[in-house]
Amino acid sequence: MKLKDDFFKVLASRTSQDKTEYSIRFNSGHFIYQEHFPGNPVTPGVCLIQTVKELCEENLKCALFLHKIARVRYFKAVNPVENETVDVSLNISEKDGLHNVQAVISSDETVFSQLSLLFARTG
Amino acid sequence: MDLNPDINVRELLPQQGRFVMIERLRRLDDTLVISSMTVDSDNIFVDGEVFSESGIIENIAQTAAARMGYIGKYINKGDVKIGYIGEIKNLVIERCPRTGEELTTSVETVTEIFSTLMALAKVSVNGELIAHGSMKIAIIDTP
Repeated sequence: MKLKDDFFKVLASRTSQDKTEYSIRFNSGHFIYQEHFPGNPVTPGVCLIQTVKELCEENLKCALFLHKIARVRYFKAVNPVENETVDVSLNISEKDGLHNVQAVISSDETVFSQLSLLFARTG
Repeated sequence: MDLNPDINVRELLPQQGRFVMIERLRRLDDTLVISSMTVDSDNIFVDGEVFSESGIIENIAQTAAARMGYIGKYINKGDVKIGYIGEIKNLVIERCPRTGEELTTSVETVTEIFSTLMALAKVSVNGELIAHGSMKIAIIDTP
């Protein structure tokens, strides 16, 4: 399941020296929100990881495989109605042929999740 | 803990519909829970014939949640509560499963303090370890 342009949409992106920031909007009408959880829509934690992966793939223009989660922390649930748009910042570096990604998902002062991931290029 | 092999995992999870990412519970005791699931081609986490990394992580989280759901429903005779992943650490994925393969996922609770548990997970296909790592899950009373 590809989430981009279905579960979320990129509204804007901005690249500075060492990072790229995306503003994205979650589709609160998506079927995932009806099932996770019924009557209480919460963005699944794994969908935040998948969102970061797809944004990295777009950024690096290649397909990626998530080889290792060094650490992912979830501080606050993302409700797609209250937090329809969020910011995702990516800091990508390369080491030993792998892409090391530090990502933060936030909205104004609220940090929802911090992710430290290691991806391998697959195509 | 005696486990009814016919137990419907959907009764133990707050997730519903196509988002349910385990099929059966194989074993459940004080600290260990083992689930299984065959990857169908219509699974929402399948792209082409590959079950994604996100699907593996959700499978681990729901295996842990099913144990808590079982305890909540059958031991404490209460409701199935909603669990959130709090943290994932040092989770290594060796490869993604393919459609038709059966995942066996074991989650061992290392510590359980109030309603937060720290667990070690192993996912295998036919005895081949394909993913392993730790996860912290928090169960909350009110959504």
